[in-house]
Amino acid sequence: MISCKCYLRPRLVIKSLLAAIVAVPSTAYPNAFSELSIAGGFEDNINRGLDEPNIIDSTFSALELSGGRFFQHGLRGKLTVFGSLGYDRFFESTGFDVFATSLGVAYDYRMGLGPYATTVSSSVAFENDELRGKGRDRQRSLVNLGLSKRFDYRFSANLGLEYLNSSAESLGATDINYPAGADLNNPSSFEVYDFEAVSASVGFNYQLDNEWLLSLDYNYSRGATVASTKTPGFLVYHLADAFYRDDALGFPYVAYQLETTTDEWSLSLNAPVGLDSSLDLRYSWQDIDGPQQFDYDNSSIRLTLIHRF
Amino acid sequence: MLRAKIHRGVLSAFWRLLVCLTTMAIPLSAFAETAVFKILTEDGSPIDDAVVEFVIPVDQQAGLVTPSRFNIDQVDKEFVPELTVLVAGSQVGFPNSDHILHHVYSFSEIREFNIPLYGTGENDDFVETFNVAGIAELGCNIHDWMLAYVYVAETSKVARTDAEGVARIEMEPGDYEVRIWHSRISRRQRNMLEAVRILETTGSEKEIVLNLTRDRRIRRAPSAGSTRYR
Repeated sequence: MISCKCYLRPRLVIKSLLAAIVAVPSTAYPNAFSELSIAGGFEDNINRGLDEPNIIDSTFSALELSGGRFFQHGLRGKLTVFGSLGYDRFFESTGFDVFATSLGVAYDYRMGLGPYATTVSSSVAFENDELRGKGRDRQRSLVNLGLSKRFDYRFSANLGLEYLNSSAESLGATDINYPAGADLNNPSSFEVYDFEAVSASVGFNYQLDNEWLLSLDYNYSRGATVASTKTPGFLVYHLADAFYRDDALGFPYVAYQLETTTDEWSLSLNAPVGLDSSLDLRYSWQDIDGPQQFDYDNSSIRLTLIHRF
Repeated sequence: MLRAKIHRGVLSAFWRLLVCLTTMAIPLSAFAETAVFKILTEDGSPIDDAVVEFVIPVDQQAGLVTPSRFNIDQVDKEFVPELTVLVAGSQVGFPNSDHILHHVYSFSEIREFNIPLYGTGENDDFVETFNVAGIAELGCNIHDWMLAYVYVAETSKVARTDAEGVARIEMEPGDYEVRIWHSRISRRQRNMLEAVRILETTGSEKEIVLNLTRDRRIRRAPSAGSTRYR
C-alpha cells in the first residue's frame, strides 16, 4: 500500500474556497441552506476486532449541524459551498468519541429543467476527525463524482465514484507489546490513518404511497481498514502497513492498518415528520476482506431525526 | 266605431312593439339560471379544486372572454395558490414572498416559460400571458416538490369547486356540454364531457363522480445523507 502524507492546511483550504466563491460568474445567485440531525444507535464492531475477545460494541449518539450556500450558475449549473460540525459519542467506549468538521465545494449540473433531468455531480471535501489521543486523529480529502436520476415521482437512483486520501500527523514509537520476532529496528509505519482508497457506489430510492422513502445503497471500497487487537501476533505485525497503540481503547490494544476491500450494504426507511423534518431508520452491514484470514464484519443500526431549515 | 277599432289595434301593436324592444335591450344574463355542479369521489366525498367549464362554440364566445390579471406567489417553498383558473388572454405574475430564491418554469404545451432565480421584490412587474386554453403545470427547478396548475378556460363560463365540492355557474337555459378537470383525474376521465340541461327558473343541479389517482408529488421532507464509517 502506498501511503501519502497530505496534511490539511486550513488556511490554504479557506483561501481556496473563498477564491472559488469570488470566481463564480456574476450570473450566479445565492441560496443558503442548513440542516440539523440528531441520531442514536448501536454498532457491533466499532474497533474492527477480528474475533470475540477483541470486538468492541457500543451504543452511540450523534449530533451534526451542516449547511452552506449554493450559487446558481446559468439555468442548469449550481456551485455549492458546504460545511459541517459533528460530535459522535460512544457510550460503552468513549475513546471513540469524535469531534468532526468538514468543508467542501460541489458543482452540480442538471441536464435540463425539472426533477426528472439527470444530474451530474462533483465535489471536493476536507474532513477532520479529532479523537482521544493522536493515534486515531485523521484528516481526509475526498473527491466525488456522481450521477443521479429521478425516473418518476416514486423512484430515483444514483451512482458514485470516490477517491479518498486519509492522513494522520506524524507519530513516534510508543509503548506497544510488540510480538516476538518483530524487527524493532525497522518498525512498520506508525500512522495507521495514512492510506488511499477508491470506492464505487449505487443507490436506489423508492417513495411509498404514504411518502415514506425506502432506500437501498451498496458501496464497494478498495483501500485500507484500521482494526485493533489486544493480542497483536507476529502475523498481524507482518501484514500490517502501520502499527500503533490504540489510544481509543488504551493499553494493551494496538491499532493496525491492513489493505482491505469492503462491501457495505445499507437499507433505510425514512418517514416525513411535518414538512421539513424526517425520521430515518438505517441498517448498515460491512463485510471487510483483508489478507489471509483477516476478515471483519461490522453492522450498525441508526435512528436519525433530521430537520432542514 | 271603425275608427275606434283601428285606434285600439294601433295602440295594441304599439305596446307589443314597445315590450318587444324593451325585452331585446335587457342583457341575456338577466335570463341566466344557476347551474350547480357537485363533484364527488366514488365513495361520496366532496372534491375541491375541480374545474367545471361550459363548452361554448367559438361563434358564441363573444362577450364571454374576459381576461384578467392574477398572481401565483411562492410562500414557504410552495406555490400559492396551487390552482389558478383564468380565461384565455389573462396575465399571471409570479411574486416571490420567500426569503430564498426560486426558479419557476413550465414545459406545458399551452405555455412554455422559464423564470430564472429571483428573490423577494424582484420580477414584480413580470407577467406571463396565457393565450391558449388548456392546462399548464408549473414547477420550481430548485425545490422539486413545488407544483402548481393553471387552468386556462376558453370563456368566463368556468368555476372551481369549493370545499364542499360545489361549483356554480350562471348560464342561459339550454342544452350544453361541460368539461370537468382535476389535477388527479384518472386517465380514463381526462377529456370527459358531461351533458347538462339548464331549465328556466330552476337552473340545474348535477352530481358528477370523478375517479382520482394517487397524489403523485415528490416528497418535500429531507432524507438522511449516507453515513459512512469514519
